[in-house]
Amino acid sequence: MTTTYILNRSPTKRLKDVTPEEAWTGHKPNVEHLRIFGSVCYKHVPNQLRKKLEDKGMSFVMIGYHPTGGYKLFDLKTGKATVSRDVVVDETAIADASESQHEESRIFIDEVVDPERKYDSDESDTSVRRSSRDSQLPSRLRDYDLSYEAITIAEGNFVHYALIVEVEPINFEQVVGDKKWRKAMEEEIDSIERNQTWELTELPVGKKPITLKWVYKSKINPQGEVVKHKARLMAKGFLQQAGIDYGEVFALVARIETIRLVISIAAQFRWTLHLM
Amino acid sequence: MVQPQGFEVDNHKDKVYRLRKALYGLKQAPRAWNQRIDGFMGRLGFEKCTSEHGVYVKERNKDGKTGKLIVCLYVDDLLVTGSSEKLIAEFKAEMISEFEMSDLGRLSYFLGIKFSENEYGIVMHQSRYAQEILRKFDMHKSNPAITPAEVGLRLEKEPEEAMVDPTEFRKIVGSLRYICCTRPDLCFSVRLISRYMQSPRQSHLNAAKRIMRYLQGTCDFGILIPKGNPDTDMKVTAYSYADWCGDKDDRKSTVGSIFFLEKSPISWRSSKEQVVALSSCEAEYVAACEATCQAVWWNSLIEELKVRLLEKINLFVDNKSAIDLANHPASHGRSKHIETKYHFIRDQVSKKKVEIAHCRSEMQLSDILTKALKREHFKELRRLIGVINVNEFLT
Repeated sequence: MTTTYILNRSPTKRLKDVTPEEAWTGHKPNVEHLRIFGSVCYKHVPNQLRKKLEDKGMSFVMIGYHPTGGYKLFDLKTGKATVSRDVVVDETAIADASESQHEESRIFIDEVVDPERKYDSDESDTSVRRSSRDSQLPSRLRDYDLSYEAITIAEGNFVHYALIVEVEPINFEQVVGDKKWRKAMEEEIDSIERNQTWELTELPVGKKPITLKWVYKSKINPQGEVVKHKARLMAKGFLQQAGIDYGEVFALVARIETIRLVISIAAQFRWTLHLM
Repeated sequence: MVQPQGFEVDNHKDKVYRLRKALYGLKQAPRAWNQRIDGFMGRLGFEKCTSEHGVYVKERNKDGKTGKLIVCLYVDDLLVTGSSEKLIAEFKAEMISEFEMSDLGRLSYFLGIKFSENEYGIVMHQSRYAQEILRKFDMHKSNPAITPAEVGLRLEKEPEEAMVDPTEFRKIVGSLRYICCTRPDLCFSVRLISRYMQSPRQSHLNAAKRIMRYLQGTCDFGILIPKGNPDTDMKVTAYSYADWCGDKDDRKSTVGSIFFLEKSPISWRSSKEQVVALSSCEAEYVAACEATCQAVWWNSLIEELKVRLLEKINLFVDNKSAIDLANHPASHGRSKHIETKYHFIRDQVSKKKVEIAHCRSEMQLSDILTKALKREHFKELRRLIGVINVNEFLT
């Protein structure tokens, strides 16, 4: 986690003059808060949680950063990680787990020292206890294919999924040089002209024209093959204002009850039903 | 309107188009389409029904025989039926020559409803949609339940209970509402949970899940529209029933009504009465009145479709005093407070548009629309209102 956090804020080979973070968000990342990993740090103990003569700080090991602006801290004694903002980091001192262990055993002389509980300073970053619970993805992510940090290669570049399916273009710029879409658009314009839908005129003074948008659709047959490319010219109807640009808008539809009635009448007379 | 991107006219880059006709996406587009097709149908000699504007009828006399064509309009989908194949084919040809339309052939899938037909009748069902709903709400692996609600289930507002995600709950209700198009057996339960959309609680969500568990076992159910004998006149029967004080929060009664054309269910309804009824007789009287309103609409629509009906609509009520109240314009101490508008039913009875008859409580088919029934009774009524398994029907 911390590795990715730092990698995202460091220059990469691919991107010129910007860090991945900047390329993604558009903001220059602030690196003021970065501290040496594994430094000893002291977390403030709030007044409510201590008595008059107790220590005002507790020592921890810095293991990462938290989105709220705090640091992730690791407690060598209990083996638990916490998050806190009230932290002073001493970058000159690298945490030595064995030392604290000594200290502990010095105070509690009776305690049997369990050899497995001895921490090595090299290992201290990996020994954060991982939850053994099966973690489930949030439901909002269920629709997506997720890739984990493991997919980032050694240099920190993210490996993208190749887009396998033929996608429908979403705007005009994407299809500008594409023959098949050009043909589809010509067909649509042709049909509009044939129906004499519009005529070319000057724009009246002080009026704004309604803008248009091309919408592209690939028609797929049941075998999953693309059979037709269709382009449709859409007027941006949401720019129209009631009363000025249009009056009545509703279209009539038959009620579902009526449809049932017609079907049962047809069944009664043994007529056939057709659809258009 | 601006010129389309990529198709600007040279030398006239600053000009714009003035629309003479509607374009896809314009607010007026649906209305313009409707006006266009309405005009065209008029020219073809169709009459538009005044009580249902989406339906057109054409009658033609030829060689002493009358041919008839009925068209249902659903924006740009058309449902066509008629007395002869030839008439239908002619109509289709005319439509195709006028509009860029495609002929979708015999009716099999319309508005998300599947129509399965054999020589005995047509089954309307939404099994695909039902499965989609179950998958969407992660209920496709649930254990099927036999009824959509526990016996005698009554829901209350439960302000003390834990709130559930309202958006999710509303999505469930909305999805289930559409499936009621072909499932009168679900109508009551869905109606019941939809009252709590404003602030859904855990018990309401449990009820919704129970409906989906019932759906899980009955995905392939639909309504049966049996084929009849073309020579007999048709008859509409209706059942209305009220569950007095069905809602414990505001003490309003639940009404249910169902209409049959011959043996096929054509409309049903389960809802809460507008007023608080003081007695079960009053609740039934109000229910019968609401059913009468619907019956009057059916009467005029069927008349406009130029289909001959046998006598008046029969309305079955299982409360003797409510029937007496409707048939005899007498005022009693216990009924004088009933709002005047509900005496509409007396007017219709005296005009002989509707006839109210008594039926035994066990045969009251609209029972299923007003309360959560016991398993056996539920299954029996479900069969009687024409809800069947499409797979069993087709084999």
